Amino acid sequence: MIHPGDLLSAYLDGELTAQERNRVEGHAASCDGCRNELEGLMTVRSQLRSLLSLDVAPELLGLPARPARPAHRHRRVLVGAAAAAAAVVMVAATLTAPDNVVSVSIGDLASPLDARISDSPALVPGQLVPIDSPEGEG
Amino acid sequence: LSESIPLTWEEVARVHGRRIYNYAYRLTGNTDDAADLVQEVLLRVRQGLRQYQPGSFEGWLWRITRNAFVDELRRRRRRPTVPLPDDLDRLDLGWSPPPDEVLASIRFDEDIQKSLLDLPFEFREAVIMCDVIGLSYEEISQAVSAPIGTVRSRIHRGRRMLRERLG
Repeated sequence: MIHPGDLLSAYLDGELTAQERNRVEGHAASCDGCRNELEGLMTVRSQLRSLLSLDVAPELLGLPARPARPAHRHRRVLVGAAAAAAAVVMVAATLTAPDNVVSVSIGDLASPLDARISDSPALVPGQLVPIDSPEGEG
Repeated sequence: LSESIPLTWEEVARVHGRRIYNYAYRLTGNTDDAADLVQEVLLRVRQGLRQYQPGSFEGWLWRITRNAFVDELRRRRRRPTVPLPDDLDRLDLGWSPPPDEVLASIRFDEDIQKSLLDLPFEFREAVIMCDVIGLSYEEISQAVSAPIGTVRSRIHRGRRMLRERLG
């Protein structure tokens, strides 16, 4: 029995031809080792994809600076109207140097942070709370 | 695949600056190195944009990024620098601690980052380009000037090594 080897990773990435895909699926159906390996690869792949994306100051890129930020910037929580419904919460926390902000996206968030948000008088679920540096990939 | 081609370096900076920065940060684990690299890459983009031939913009951009990074590594080898302290140490700068959830995310992130830094360069790079930056195998192949089969093997072996280290 020839194991698919590096086809397993390419399978997860959608980088195989239909024929190769069939080969991997056919093999994995009867090979515990390769099924386990697929699972492990899937885990590590999703861990890598969930790594934090560091923000970068526009000045560093030679672009115009963003408007000045308030002095106390740590622990800002943004709750959008749609985000409240979808329980998607963005937490921005200061990590390293003062100008580096790490944005943490937490999808389908469970109780602890939700509870804290609804306990907080300053944040009403469904209300849009402005955050000082809207940052998008586009 | 239709992709809009940024025509000015400002657009490249705006659209891709953050990705280049994160690529460099994940490769080095160091924000200062990432800042240096992103500036060098944008300078090269500025100089090279006039010669850009329509084709895979991502492949072109990431080849420039990769070459800038490799050149910088060579330069550093000739002139070693003093390593910086761990990023978490710098949290203690008069800020109150972030919430536990954020700290947990940061620690988890650091575990993966440390494991990434243990990987040989080619594997680390392939995994970062694929899983952090989100490039296709074809784009990675252009960026690192290696056949797709080689890229596939590096991604696979890199992930396996990470899996073993992360337990």
